[in-house]
Amino acid sequence: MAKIKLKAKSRSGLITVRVLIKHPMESGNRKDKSGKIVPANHITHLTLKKNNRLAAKAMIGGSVSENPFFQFKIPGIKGDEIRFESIDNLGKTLQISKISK
Amino acid sequence: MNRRLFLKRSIATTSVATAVSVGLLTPIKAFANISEFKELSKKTQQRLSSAQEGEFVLKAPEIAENGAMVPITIDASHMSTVKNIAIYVHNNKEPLSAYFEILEASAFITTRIKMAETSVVTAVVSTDSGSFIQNKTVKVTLGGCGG
Repeated sequence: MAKIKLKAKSRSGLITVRVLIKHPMESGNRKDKSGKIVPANHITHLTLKKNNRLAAKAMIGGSVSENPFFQFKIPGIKGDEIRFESIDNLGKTLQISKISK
Repeated sequence: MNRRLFLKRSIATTSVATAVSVGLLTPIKAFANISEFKELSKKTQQRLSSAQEGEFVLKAPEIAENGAMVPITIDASHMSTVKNIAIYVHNNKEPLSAYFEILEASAFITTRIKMAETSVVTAVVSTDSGSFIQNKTVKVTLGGCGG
């Protein structure tokens, strides 16, 4: 099952990129039923590239929703390659690349 | 919960824990990331006091029924030389939610954040000519950060 989904659609010189990541985004502040703190497990860094050039970067905390969704707009045309990467605080990376429609 | 899933998950978490204790995974890097983010949060807080109100769009619901999923949209695409965009939730334990660096993209961001309680949400957009903010109060009827 894909853990990360990306859709890129161009319209009048602007590509709308939508990304949905499957991730628990545990902030490290929440307690479970037995009162133990659930250890932090959330995405910390995001990078968005267009044709191998960095378009946007982000640092996010544990206060972004579970299964986070992001939407970006990049100047570009149909056929541009969009690559998205995320790293969580345990060092796990997820990446996806797609050709814009 | 489904028993198979539960077993799978418990095995996964214990294996990560052992990996950390054995030293296969380096937690140092992970901690560095978190402290870096806290630093960024402080910097953003300092910037808030000197910032002026800017002319960009911050879209957030007036009442969020579920604090675990509050959609936020920031559209500053008509502003020039936008360097970064931050989302700051005042009453959260970790007030800085997300920090986007705009390099070759349009200054338009949509995401969904968690909110512990009713709070003022501030969007900070910094450009070459200074920082600009927009405030919006979001009422939360059910908290999403637990605790």
